[in-house]
Amino acid sequence: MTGFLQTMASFLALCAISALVARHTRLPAALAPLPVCCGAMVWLVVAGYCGVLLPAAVLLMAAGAASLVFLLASARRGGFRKLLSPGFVLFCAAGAAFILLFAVRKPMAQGWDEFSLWATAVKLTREHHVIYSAAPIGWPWVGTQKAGLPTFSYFFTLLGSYEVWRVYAAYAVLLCAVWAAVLGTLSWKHWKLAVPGAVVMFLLPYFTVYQRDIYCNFTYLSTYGDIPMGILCGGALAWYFHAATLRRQPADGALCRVPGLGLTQSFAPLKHLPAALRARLFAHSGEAGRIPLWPLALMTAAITLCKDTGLPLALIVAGVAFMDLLLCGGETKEQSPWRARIWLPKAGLFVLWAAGAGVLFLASGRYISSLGVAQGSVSTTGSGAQVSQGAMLIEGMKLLLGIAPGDIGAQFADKFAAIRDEMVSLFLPGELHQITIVGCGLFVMLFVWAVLALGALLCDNRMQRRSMALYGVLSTMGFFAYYIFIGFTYVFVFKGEGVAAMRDYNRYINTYYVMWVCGAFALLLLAAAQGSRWRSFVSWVAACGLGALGGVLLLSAGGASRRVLVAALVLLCAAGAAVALRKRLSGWQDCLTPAVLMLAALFLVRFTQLVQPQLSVIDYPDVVYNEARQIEQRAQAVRAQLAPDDTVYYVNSTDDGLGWFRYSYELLPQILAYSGGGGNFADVVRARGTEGADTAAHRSLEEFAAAVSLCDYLLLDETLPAFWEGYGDLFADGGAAFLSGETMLYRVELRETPQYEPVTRDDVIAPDGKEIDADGRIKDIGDGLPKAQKREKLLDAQTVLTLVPVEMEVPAA
Amino acid sequence: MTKKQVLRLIGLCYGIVLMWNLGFAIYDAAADAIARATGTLQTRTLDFTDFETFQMTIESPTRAVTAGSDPQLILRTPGTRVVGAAFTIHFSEDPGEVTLYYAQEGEEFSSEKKIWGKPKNDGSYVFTLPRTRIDTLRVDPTNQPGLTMELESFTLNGARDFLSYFSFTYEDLFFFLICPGMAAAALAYVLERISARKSRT
Repeated sequence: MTGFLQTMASFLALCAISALVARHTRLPAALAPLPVCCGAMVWLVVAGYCGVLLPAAVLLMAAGAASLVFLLASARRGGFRKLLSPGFVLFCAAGAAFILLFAVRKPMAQGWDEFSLWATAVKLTREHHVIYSAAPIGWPWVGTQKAGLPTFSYFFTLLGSYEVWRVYAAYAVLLCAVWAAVLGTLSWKHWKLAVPGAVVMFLLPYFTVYQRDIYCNFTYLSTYGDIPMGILCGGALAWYFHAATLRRQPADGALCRVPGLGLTQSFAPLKHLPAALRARLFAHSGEAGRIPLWPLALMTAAITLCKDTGLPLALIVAGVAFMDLLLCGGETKEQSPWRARIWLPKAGLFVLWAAGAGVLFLASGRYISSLGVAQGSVSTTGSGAQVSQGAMLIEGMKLLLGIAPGDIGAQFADKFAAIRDEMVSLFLPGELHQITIVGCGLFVMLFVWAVLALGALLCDNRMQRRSMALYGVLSTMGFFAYYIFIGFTYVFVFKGEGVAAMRDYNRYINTYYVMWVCGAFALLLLAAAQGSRWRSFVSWVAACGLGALGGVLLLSAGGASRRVLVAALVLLCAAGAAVALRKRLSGWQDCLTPAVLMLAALFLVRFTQLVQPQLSVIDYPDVVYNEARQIEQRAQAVRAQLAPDDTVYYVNSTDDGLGWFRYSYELLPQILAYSGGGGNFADVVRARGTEGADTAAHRSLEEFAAAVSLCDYLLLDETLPAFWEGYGDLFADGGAAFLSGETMLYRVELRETPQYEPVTRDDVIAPDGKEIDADGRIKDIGDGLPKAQKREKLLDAQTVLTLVPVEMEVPAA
Repeated sequence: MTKKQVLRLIGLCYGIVLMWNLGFAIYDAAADAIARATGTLQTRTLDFTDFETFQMTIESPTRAVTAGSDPQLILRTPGTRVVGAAFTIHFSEDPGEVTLYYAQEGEEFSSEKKIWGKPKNDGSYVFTLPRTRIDTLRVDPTNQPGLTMELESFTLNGARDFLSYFSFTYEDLFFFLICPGMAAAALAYVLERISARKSRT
């Protein structure tokens, strides 16, 4: 309950600021949450770069509280009706519902990258109140990933303690802000569009499911940044399309246009400013001026801060918006878009949007570079990059265009050819090429084109039709640009020979697919809201065609009760269409509404075909987190034994690295030492003495002791007999306490002579002449020494490392 | 449509779906009561020896040890219509996934016909099965090898509280939120078009 209220406080702060912005500017209420959330993300990250993250977060919370107080105090002035738009209500209701659901169910982290980056980053940020890259972690931290999502999530854990479900709630709130932007200018009279629109937006992350899930689907229950970034890009496009449509719409247009109270009306001191200055400064507030488009810069900046691949996506968003503004700006035929008076301000906006992304990208690079110098442990060119991004683009383009590459490019020529062929192949239909609910990349492109074509075919607004056609062309060009960019990163950045470097292909590409569909759907909604153009048989054939598609897909849907419900829904829509056709209606408008309804039904059907709702965020069984819960309990039991500055060495004979990442995450802020990256210790006997070996498995007894000596404790997770054969001599009890399940933790001690009598928890036998600690232990001669000196001491022939079992309560397996 | 009519329509759609679900719950309760009265639905108490087992060693009717990561208890021809199963098993360790499969005669077990168990506060697992013909049940009580299971009770078609027929899951809630809303939108669209047509003619 406390966690719920604390998370709700952060959410309410964003809601209150959004409400204030919506109430006092011309921005439609549903278009306020997305720039506010993106602005919060940018604000926190920039503050983090300046080393004042905590004050900035507190200030943001205070701004939220002040906004709420102001809204309540000035309630008599009204202006709240504007907030009751479908999008804004959806943002508030869905955000609160997600927080409530997660607070009750308490989902846990379970994915590899959650432990190696995303969830760990938020936990580090929360524990140290700095950008996660600067937080101490004790292993070669690849902290070059952008900090936007972890820092935004940090705001939701500001009050109270870190829990990963609060991170999921933060992600969900960001997605809800996108939903609101997609519904954008729809008013309650468009509720027939808003309902299916909300359904499609909820199901949009599932667009990336490509086969029937028989295990739990962790969409919405994951901290990975790929899908949120894609949806954020789609949201930015949707936000722009709504704002631009409203700018060019006449005052009596179909879309929601409710003026705000205006800043000068609401804040008395502003009234004393000279009229000319007031008009210039606050032209975009209240009733004066048009919908401002500069907030898109906040969104492009936020997209850049989501992931390393955010910059090209942000530039694509800015490019699409600029071209749309230029060619579909709503000018009359006499006003050529190429006149300087017309295009120059628009170019200025594009520069602003692109600068929002570029400046943050450069700032992020500078910040990481400064840490790299300071820590000496992070790359300055990205995670494992072999060449700079500039060289990558130049050499990659040369290879792509068949121009003789430079020295760097020539090294990658073979790898480039292999990856180029593979990526072309993966885009086309083929066995195992299905990566979305509609199939391979080509089918996604056709799907997007079909949605845009349907909208353009039926839409009643000329400029909207042009906007949809332009989006079809530009987003397709953007896709190929992004596809080539991802290909270049596989060639030049990812390690591995040939196509072996193509890891997580679908995860990276799906980001664009989600954005693509989101943008197309937002345009379809806008077109539907503005009415239909054709009043003929053709319109209905198009709409019914989509319905028929839904019906066909329905045939293989699973779950009888669900099938009946969805069948009823589709039949209802089809019945409407049939009535229309039967009567040969010629004057019916609004034929895009059934198309949107059919699309939502189609999404719902595909969702139920591929995902079992009882194995998704909707109703997942708790047992999927049994293992995670068990590890959390064990880590808590271990943490209870540790002092704040203790470091721990981890051993797991059967680990592929995940176990180590998990304990590293769970033990934070306690430091789990690198421990060879969690590699296994199974073949130590065979590998003992192997020269040049640097993995945990290839460590000799002395090397292992030297590595462990830098830590205060040894944590044993899983061991095989070979481990005890190799390293058993180091343990005071030969490992008996661990093997009998009494402990997982051994204290690292340096002693003057080897082979004392076995030390037990209750009976410490001190050889003659040895100093005894105040607590009855044989004195650890390394006590109080810095870790480097402790290691030097170990190299002294007179000392030896001994591992002493620690008494603790080990949670049952 | 006026605002009032729209609200009425939405309320009507939600009301109809709610009544539909309540009606089905009452129908299920009544059907079970009649079936019990006529003997087609019987409560059966089982122990480990009543099942075919896989990757499991039966030490006594109420004690078994798993011998692999996919132990199974398979019940063929249960001798009654099956609408529910409930068991309480004390595991020596956390059992991990507890699932139940159901199938008709000659049909393979599949993940399409699988129910995931959720332990209740008293440690028991209760499965409500779909109202379809079921000839074979398979219980996967754990996915852990070397685990000892002490069976306290295993009941087929145990007596149900009348109110339990009205309990709902998060999944039910999700579809209850979405489907009537979508149906209302579609219905409103059709009604508006018909109304517009009439006013023109």
